[in-house]
Order: sequence, then C-alpha cells, then structure tokens
Amino acid sequence: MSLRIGMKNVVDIQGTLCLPVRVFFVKEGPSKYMSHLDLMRCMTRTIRRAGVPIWYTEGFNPHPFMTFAMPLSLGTSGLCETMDVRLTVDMPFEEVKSRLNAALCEGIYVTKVDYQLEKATAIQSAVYCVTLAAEGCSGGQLAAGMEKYLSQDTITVQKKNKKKQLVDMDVKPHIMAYSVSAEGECAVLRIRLPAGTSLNVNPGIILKGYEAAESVTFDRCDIVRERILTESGEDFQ
Amino acid sequence: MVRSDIETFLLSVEKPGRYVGGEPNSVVKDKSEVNIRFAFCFPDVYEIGMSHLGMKILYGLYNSVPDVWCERVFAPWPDMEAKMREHSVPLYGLESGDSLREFDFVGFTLQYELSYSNIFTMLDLSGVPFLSADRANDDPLVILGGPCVCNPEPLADLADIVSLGEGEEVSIELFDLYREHKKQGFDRKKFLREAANIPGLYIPSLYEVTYRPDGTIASVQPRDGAPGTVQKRIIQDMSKVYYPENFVVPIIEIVHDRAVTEIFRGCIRGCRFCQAGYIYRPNREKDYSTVDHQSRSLCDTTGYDEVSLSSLSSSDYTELPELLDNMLNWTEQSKVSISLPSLRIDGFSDELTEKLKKVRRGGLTFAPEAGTQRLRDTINKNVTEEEVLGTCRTAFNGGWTNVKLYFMLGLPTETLEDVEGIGELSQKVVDEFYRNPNKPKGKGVNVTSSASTFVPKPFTPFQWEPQDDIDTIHMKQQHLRDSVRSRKITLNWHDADTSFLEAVFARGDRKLINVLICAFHKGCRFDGWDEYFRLPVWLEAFAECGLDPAFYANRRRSYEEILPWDHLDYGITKEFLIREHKKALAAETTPHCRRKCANCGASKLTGGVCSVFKNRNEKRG
Repeated sequence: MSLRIGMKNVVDIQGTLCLPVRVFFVKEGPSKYMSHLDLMRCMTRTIRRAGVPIWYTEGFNPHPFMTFAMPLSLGTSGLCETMDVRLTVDMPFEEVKSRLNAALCEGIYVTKVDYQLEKATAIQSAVYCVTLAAEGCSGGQLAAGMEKYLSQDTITVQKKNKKKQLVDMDVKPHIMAYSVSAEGECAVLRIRLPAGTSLNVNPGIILKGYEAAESVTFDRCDIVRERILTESGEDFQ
Repeated sequence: MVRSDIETFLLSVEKPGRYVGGEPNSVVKDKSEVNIRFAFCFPDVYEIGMSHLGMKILYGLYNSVPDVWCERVFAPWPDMEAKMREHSVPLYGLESGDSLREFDFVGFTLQYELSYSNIFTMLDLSGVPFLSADRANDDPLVILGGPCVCNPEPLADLADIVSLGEGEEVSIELFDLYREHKKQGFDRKKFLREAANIPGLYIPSLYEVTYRPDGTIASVQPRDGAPGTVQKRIIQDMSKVYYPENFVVPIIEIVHDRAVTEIFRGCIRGCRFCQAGYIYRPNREKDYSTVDHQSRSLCDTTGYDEVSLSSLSSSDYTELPELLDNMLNWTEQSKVSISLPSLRIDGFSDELTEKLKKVRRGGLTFAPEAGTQRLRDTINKNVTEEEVLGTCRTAFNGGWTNVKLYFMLGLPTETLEDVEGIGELSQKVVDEFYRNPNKPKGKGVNVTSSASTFVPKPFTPFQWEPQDDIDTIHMKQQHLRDSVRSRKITLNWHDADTSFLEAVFARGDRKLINVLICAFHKGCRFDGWDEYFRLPVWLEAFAECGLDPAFYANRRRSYEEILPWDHLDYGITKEFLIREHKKALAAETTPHCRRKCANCGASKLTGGVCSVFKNRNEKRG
C-alpha cells in the first residue's frame, strides 16, 4: 500500500513519499561482537531480506538511508538501541517488526517500531549495568572495592582524545548516579553516565581505571546499556 | 551459539565476531535427530573461509539431508589460539560449540598448500590424532577435498579419506555407506575398505608407496582390493546439480561479501601454467535461466546487493549476452549490482561491452602473464600484445586511468629478455594512454604490474619442470625493477620464499608429513600470511627430517619418473600433458577446446563426448 500526503508524519523527500520511523531493538549474545559498521551492513541486508521497503539515498551509489542514535562499543550489549529509517510504503508497525524479527541474526530483535517522537539530540544520559568478577575476589569484596573507588572525590582515568592519545581526566563529576551490589561471585554496578552528542562517557574507561588503580584484572566484565534517557530522565522515544 | 567459556577472553582477541556463529541462515539442528555430524573445516581465518563458494555449496547440500548436520570450523588466528590453549578450550563447530572430537567426519578443504600447517593446529586444538594410523575406531574420520587433493600425498598419512573432484554426489554416497555401517556396529577398517569402492574416494592407507635410493618413487601398490587408480568425480549436468538457495550471511565483513553463482566449471583455454585449467576439465556450462533464477533467489534470501558470476573465465560463457539481458531485468529494479570477474583480454565484443557498462567491474585487470609473445606462446596464453593494447585503448577511451597487469616470473624457458618484456609491455600501456586524444584532462595514468612467482603444479604440462631457485627469482625481480623507468608504472612482486614452499608441497610425496608435523611443533601457522611466514623455521624442519626441499621444488623430473599423484586420474592423460609440454618448449600454441579438440582425455568423464561439443550441438540443434 502506498503512502499518501496527509497521512500522519508522511514527508516528501526528493519526490518520494516517506514515513520516518524509529526501530527499537536489543543487541546481545553473539551480536554484541558486531562492530557498528558490521551492524549497519547487517541491518541493510536484514531489511532487504525482510522485504521492508525503505528510502535509498539518491546519487551514483544509492544506499539505504538509516541512522543510529547511539552506536554501541564492540562487546557491549544494548537493550534500547534505535535505528531510524524511512518507510516508502504504508506498512503497519507490527508487520515491520515481525518481518524484521524473522530475518534478523541471533541476538538482535526488534522490540518496537514507532514514529520518531524525539530528536536524537534530546539524548542526555545512559544507564549501564556492569557485571564484574575477578579471580580470588568474592562478589562482596569486589563490590566494596568498587564502592570505595567510586566514592572518591576525584577519579582519574585515562581517555583517548580526538588525536587518539591517552589523556588523564577526572570522571567523578560526570557520574550522575550509581549503585553497587554483590551477587554471588559477581559485583553488579549500575551507573548513569552522560551520553549524546555533546558529552559521552563510556563505562569502560572507569572499569579500566579501577583495574589500574587496584591492580586487578576482571575475568568477567559484561556491560549492558539498559536505558537511554533524555534530559527529563525519561526513556528516549 | 557462543560458548560461555570463550566469553571471558573474547574481547581481548582481534575480531571476536569470527568465533561466535549465530549468523542468518546458519543451520542449527537437534542433535537427537542427527545421525551424521560433519565438521567442515577451512584451514584459514573466518573471513577467507567464509568467502569460499565450495564450502557454501557443500554446507547447504549436507544440511539438506535431514539426518546430517554440517557445521563450519575455521582456523583461529594466533591470538585466539593462544587464548584457547590458555583456557583449555577445544576447537569447536560454530553452530553447536562442540569440539571436533564429537563429530563423525572432520573434513578439510585444501585450497592452498600454505594452509597445510593450520590443519595440524586445528586437529591439535581438538585432540584429534594427526595420523590416520593413530586414530581409534570412535575418532572422527578425517576427509580431505578441494583442488590441492589432486596431489594429497604430503597429507596422505593424515587423511582417512580423500575425495577427488567435485563433491556433490560422492559425499551423499559416502554418508549412505557410513549410515549403514553405523547401524551394524562401526568398524573403521572395514568401512574404509568399502569406501574405497566408491568412485572418487581415495583411501591412502590402502596404498603402499616404496622409494628408490635417490628418493623418487619405486612403486605404489594398492591392497585389500583398492583400485589401482582412483578417478575424480564430476557433475554431468550443471543445471541440475544442487545449488544452495541461501548462504550464511556473516556478521563481520569477509573478503568476498556477496552472493555468488557459478556459470560453468572447467575452462576451455588450456593455459599451460594453470592447474585449474586442467583439473576441472571438461568445461560444463550451467543454463543461463538457471543462473538467473539462482542469482535472484540468493539475493532474496541473503539480502546481498551484489551478485558475482563465478567461473574460470567469464567471457567464455556462451550465453553471457542472454544471461546479462535476463538479469538486468530485475537487478536494476532491486538495486543489485552484477560483478563479472575473470574477464579475458580478448573477450570483449562490442555487444558485450555495451552490456558490461551496466555491470560492476572490479577495476581493470588483465593477465598477460608473460612479457613477450614467445613466452606467452610457450604458456599457451593465446593473447597478443595488440589485444592487450587494444583493450587498454578502449578502456582509456571510456575514462579509465588505472590498469592492473598480472605477470609471472620464473616460467619455464624464461630469459632475461622475457623479464624485460614485462617492463616494456607495461610501458606500452602507458604510452597508449598518452596517445589517446580523448584522455581525461589533468589526470595521469597508473599501470600496476604485479609479478608473482611461477609454481609448477601437478596435472599441468609443467609438472616435470623445476621451479627457479630463490636466488634466481630474486635476480629476476631485481632485473625487472631495473628495467622499469617510468613513475607511471607501479611494480609489485610476490615473495619468492612462500612460492618456494608452495612448490615443495604442490608436488610433494608422503615423506613430507614429518616435515609438516615438525614445522607445526616449531610454531608454523598461517604460512600464507606474510606476517607469520618464516622460511628459516621450515628449513630447520626439513633438515631435522633429513629431507631437501629443493628435491621437490627445483628438480627436473623425467617423463618416466613415477610421480606421487600418478595413481590418481583427473581425466586428462599423461600423453596429452607430454604433448603439451613438448609444444611448450617449442613455443607452439594449442587452440582452445571450442576451436579444436586437443584430445586431452577428459571426455571419458562425460561418456566419451566432451561436454564442450555436446553443449554446442544442443544449442545449435
């Protein structure tokens, strides 16, 4: 079914009627080892396999138009990832979702398809859940160590600058909230950090900082981005 | 599925996506409903192995049998191998995560001699004994296939079974036999004896090889009723043979990341250095409508936006105009591009050129292979200088400014004059650019000439020829560098050391297994990769085993010598190869198969009438 002018949110892009939509998905399991470039290739092929018609860029080498609000680091899982595309037909969101899910690889699944209610620039922070374990350390000890580390007045960690050089930075002012608990052999850290276009802090640099400061090596370090929040503290829509 | 025991270290290795599986179209079966588990092993890294068409075909075929489960296994990169050893993780199938030990068959495809050392890494990591003689009744059966098994002798003691030629039919026959034997209580020796009766299956342990004091072969004796020669298998009808409806779509980028359809097997040309041109004979084409249908179905099921038409020489496909017409009907609409590799210099008709404009070509690459006409005649390349320059002229007219030329150094009868010819031909291509009145303004031309080192291969007219030793190759490389003056020409050459080792194993015998084991223990891995190849370590291994690599690489064989692969029959006869060898030395050419039958012997594989003529007659009729 074709789109028509006057249907909700339908726009005319270079002579083609399009409906911009936001695909929310989970990326975990084997798919967390997919880099951002890999993810874009994977999504392009998924959309083609699924038979969901989307808008392609014009020009000599047309490619499907898709944008991702917040690329994930390799190895990090995400529960609230988003991909923006422009549908070129009137397909119910539920059908888009089920078609994509039937075509996706292990570890990625679509949770919701919706209109693009907010702009990606509205994103202000993200909540990460980190499960840690280190040999010779109980979950309780690890949790206590982490609690102590994070409660310092200044937390100096190393971050790569734009020239890819490692520079020292104090990450303490950027930690918006955190909690640490012990679960058996593991410590579980839940931390809210700035995310978005102006400032982005990756939890990995804090974990590396802890490893360096305490001379430990984590045997397990699972990072899951659980939520992406806007300034109001609500989930990005 | 991701094995939980690798997750602790997976982020510390390069490209962890190589080791996790879970790709779309990968096949996971219920173990309880499976009788035969097959580990399809590619002895190189994931990105290389996943690009290989043969693996895609057999993976699809095997998994189409309900009680067979075929999984993929690749060689772990050395960083991953180290971590797996540190954490005692065995090498596993990507689909189940199970160790190779748990499979019924462990199959290796032999694409390249310098990947042999990786086979030992892969068996070692999963605790499968290296030698067939050391494997117990319940150990996996190790089976080898692929082009290099036309001389499997360096790995003969490792293999339980070697599958010669094309695998689609013979594998199914092997599975049927195995299923029967498993029902009756499996006896390994009995099974192997019976497998030897299936045409195309070579069981090395049933042949005894004796040697003369000078190291050459005295005799090869079959026993227990094994046939005296084993003939390779071929598919008679390319349009009816199984072809996968989908490919596993990798989650990381691989080398050839696209859909691929085969348009024909075998080659009509008979370039005398080219093993593929002989061992895949006879030439058999697939109907264009079948190719069209299969290409479309693959694009639909994989989501790929590029389809490559695969063969040894695309422009020799008789129905190429019809095929392109049909495919362009749907590819333009669905934004799929067609790529057509392996175009011959002389393969451009005006009609074809027009159609090819709509087809993606991977740059402009020509392979004159030799610098002078005399040497091109010796190798039967059947391309003239005028054809090379004429094609370049057309290309420059069309706005191209980059041309790649492929050559070989060390071809039989090559003189320094032939070496200089490479530089001269490259220069003539540059001159052709500046002679063109329509050349793009403000742009220079760049001619990249690559010179690889010739490796004499079994089942070619050059199988008796010595390879130039490393010093001679280095001298010729230097001479080539000195003969190129223009900065418009970029010269590349291939490392002579790797070609030397390739030559040793290409024409090696059973004695070499000890060298391979020794080199594995000395840490040899990924020898096809410059960053890992260490010739001195290999030379140590040869010395410790009391073998001289020059005996294999640099020695001229007589026509009378028993060659290690003489008991294997690839259709083409030794008489034909001798005729071709003599013509090569006299710089005489042989016309291609469609022009005149050279009586190579391969027609016996298709019932006495060569499919080249069968196809042509049917199409005419």
